[in-house]
Amino acid sequence: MSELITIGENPVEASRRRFLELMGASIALATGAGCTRPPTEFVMPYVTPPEQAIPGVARYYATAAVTNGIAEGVIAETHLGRPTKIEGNPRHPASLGATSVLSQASILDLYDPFRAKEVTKNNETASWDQFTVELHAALEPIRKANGRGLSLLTETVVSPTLGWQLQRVLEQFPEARWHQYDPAGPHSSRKGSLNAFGRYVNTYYRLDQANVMLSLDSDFFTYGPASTRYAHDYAFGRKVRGSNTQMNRLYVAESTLTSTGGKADHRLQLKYSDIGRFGVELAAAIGVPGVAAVSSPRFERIIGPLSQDLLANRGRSAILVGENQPPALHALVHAMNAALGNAGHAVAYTEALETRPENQIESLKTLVAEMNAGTVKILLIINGNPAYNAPNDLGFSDALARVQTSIHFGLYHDETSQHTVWSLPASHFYESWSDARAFDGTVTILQPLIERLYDSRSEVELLDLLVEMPNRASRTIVRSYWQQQAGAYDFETWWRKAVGEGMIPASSLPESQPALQPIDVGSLLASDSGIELTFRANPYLYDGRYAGNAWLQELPRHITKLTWDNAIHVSARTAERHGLRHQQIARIKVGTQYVEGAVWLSPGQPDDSIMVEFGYGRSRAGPIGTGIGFDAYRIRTTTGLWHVPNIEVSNTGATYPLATTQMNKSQHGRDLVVSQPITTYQRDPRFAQKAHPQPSYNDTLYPHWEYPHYNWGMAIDLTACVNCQACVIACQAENNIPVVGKQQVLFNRWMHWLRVDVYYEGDWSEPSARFAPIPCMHCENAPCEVVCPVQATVHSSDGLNEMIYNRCVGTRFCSNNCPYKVRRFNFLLYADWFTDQLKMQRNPDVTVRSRGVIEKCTYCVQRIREAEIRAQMENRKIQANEVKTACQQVCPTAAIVFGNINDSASEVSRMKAEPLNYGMLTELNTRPHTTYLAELRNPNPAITNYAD
Amino acid sequence: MWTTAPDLAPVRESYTTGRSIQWTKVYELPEYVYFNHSIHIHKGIGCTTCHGRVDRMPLTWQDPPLTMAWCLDCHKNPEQYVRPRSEVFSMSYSPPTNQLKLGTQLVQEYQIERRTSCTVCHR
Repeated sequence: MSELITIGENPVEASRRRFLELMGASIALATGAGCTRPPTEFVMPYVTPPEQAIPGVARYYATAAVTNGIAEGVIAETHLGRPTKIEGNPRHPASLGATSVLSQASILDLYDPFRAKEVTKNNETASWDQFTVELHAALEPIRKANGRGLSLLTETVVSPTLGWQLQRVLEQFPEARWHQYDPAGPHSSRKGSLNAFGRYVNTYYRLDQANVMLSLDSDFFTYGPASTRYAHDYAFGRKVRGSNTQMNRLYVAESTLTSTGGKADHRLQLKYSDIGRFGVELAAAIGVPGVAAVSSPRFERIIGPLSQDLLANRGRSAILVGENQPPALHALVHAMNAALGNAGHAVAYTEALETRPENQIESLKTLVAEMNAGTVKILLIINGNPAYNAPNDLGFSDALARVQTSIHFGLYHDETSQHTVWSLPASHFYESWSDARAFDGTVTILQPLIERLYDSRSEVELLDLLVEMPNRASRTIVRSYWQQQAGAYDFETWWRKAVGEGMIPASSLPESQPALQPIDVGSLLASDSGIELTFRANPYLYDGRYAGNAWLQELPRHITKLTWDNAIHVSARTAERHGLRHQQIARIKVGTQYVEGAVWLSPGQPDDSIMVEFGYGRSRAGPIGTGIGFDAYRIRTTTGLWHVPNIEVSNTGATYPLATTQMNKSQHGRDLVVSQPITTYQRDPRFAQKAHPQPSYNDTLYPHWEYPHYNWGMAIDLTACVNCQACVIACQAENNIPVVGKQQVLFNRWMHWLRVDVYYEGDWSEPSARFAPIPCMHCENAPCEVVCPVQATVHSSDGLNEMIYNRCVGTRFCSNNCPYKVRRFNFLLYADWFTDQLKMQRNPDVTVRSRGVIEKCTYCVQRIREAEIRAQMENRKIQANEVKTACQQVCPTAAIVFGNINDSASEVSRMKAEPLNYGMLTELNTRPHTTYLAELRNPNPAITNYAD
Repeated sequence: MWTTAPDLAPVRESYTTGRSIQWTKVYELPEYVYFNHSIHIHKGIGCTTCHGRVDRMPLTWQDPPLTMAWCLDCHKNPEQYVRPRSEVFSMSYSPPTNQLKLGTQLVQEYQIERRTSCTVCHR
């Protein structure tokens, strides 16, 4: 078996595959699985059981998942002290019960077997005690010099406790320096607010108050600490039900096709460098003071109706701008929102979230200069991986060698710790106490969900070492901070409530109305004629920190459905003009530096504009993340953080296969994902059902099913789905779905039970997109059931199409006969049966599958059965909306709704009664239990070029 | 007598050392079988129905075969096995001569459904 797999694999891939499953397979074969009794198992009960711990009954704790320092409130499901699944916290403003992809996947980071486990000094094992002693010895002369020679480099600090500690450190060491750097952070936002208001402010949006939204290169469904909330507010502003035909409207001008652009009612595809000009022309049209109309306007045709739409919705619109766009455009957008009266309505301003907002690039530059000058004696790098992700022109790694005592503290021994004297293992935020703010300032006190897996420390414990209070536990530190903050009343009650609910009530930052300063838009009018290069953070690996997370590596990218690689995205026309070929390696040259990566022809990419994502090409990211893709940081500089004009690009001629999970993105006229303008709905609400006629119920040779009690079904609102893919990861976490690695994805053997299909519509050089989550349809006349020779897939008495792994002999007839292609086969032993840490993440209520069986979406039957037992124990029926599937629970837009179709009070039966409800491929008479509400769009009637 | 009984030495040792007793699992269902005790007790299935007369076992053994056919027999014909809730924990309970009549009545009363869909036990 192993012979078969290794053919054609490069060594890196082969070693990775060994981790993913080969080792497992060989052990399984070696131990020999005969037809004997299974080996005797032992049970080790608690001697003194913890309170309320019942084996088999999950417990739930509120905490937060922290990305880029900012919190999303979550509730963690734990089984006997093991957190297994992350759900959103319905009370939390960033979550409202849903989560982002990154929060969902954070649980796998906790259990990553390749996390840093021990303190090392010069790459040799050391201890915390040794580190503490040596640190204090090294600090002694520095203390005498008032702290001169001590530098701290952190990521963006938003945590109140951590900020307070850093200030205490600076009090004790007044001459010490504290720098912050975050490669993908909101650099433009900060500088833009400084330009517009003369000070740092935090901007967020209340899209539920916006009738009209305009995004200038902002993929706000995907990036940023409020993406989950924004998706929710956007979707709830366009849920057409019955005679309510109110819909908000979204315009997007963007420099690459994103989920946000794909959902836009009008999408304008512009080079990055043209978006600023577009902004200026629009600002002139809506009458922003001080912005004059430009001579020879280029976007009149759309700006006329767009500006009228915005002006007609004064105070009810919102303009959003991408983090990659320059500060000048951010400032202009503040001015536009002010001119439209949106500030205080759909656009909210507060004081900055960060403890100390600053220009982080300048801060890092200063640090590197000081390191090179030899004045930095001790450098403490707290999280972050600057040796990998600092702008390349700074030469951070070289400067690091000049620091006497360099210390890296992080979850992993990574590229940076390779260059530092000390490497300290950090605790995951699910392992210790800390706190964090959400996008609006709401504070969550994070509580640990599990005892530390390794001998690690948290950030707050590490900083406590500096202020000479060693060995205080993180709980003591966080409590002592909040004891001062919470005031004089009963602290214990306050603390229990704050921790238990997952947020401190009314802790969001107060809104302000900062006064605008005159802005300068001159720099936005420059446009370039050559090929431009734009950078984006990878939506899943972010700045590269999640490269070791196999779920995220294998989660298909939103539009391309690429896995396990980044790519050079170019339009077909540009590729042709410059001799670039799909899946061939091209070289991009910026100054003296270059990178080589595989080309992906991307519909929706503007001509003469190349997009690359950073976060790949890691050299020290464990067996999962090392050597995946190419490292775009090598051509990223302090002057070209997001955009480089006039680059050189050439084809090397070498081919490089990229692994995608969806090779064909045309609907071939079949209209599987039905999408129409709202005007069609107003004329004929049942248009989708007419497009997919349902054959008569009696057109089958098989007997009808009857469901006396429950009849489970699902409805998916395609208008609401924004293709965020949180459902795919939620399904993976809930149902113990394995990853398979790039080679197997190339063979089409990926295992996700739920996928989100993407189709391009309209002119493929400037397309719109259609998104459709595809789980198992649980067909009434299921084509899979009738072809299984061993009855491994059968119908249940409550409307489920069941899959019985232990009966399955792997003929794959079912998969061949499934018109929706939702059945996945374990060609190899994909699940890791042997790594202890990974076992701890597994959902104990779901079988871990072995080699040779088919698997597929079960409608989270373990949750149905649990609810059934709970209801029967209480002598009642399952309530209308009691059972939620994992994909439904995580969905920020409530696009996925599950429930009992027999119960007319359930949300799912109400949705299925909507005229928009249709079944995919119903003409095959499969009678699916999963149906869709056709997508509606709301184009501006004054703009005639609507693609459909 | 219990504080010195030699048979209980492992229990005392566990108590004083804080280390778990290593129990050998006798009722070992395959990993793909999900069994919930609470619902069976709630529906009037006695301990001894599956576990036998544990009170008379000097060393515990597995009483019934625990095969799927054995499980399904009861799932299909619960009236043959169900007992009043008050008798669930009784070791010495033996079915009355009119078990079928009583069972049918209890199936009604306890709203016992004949659950034979695969995913009731296999997920």
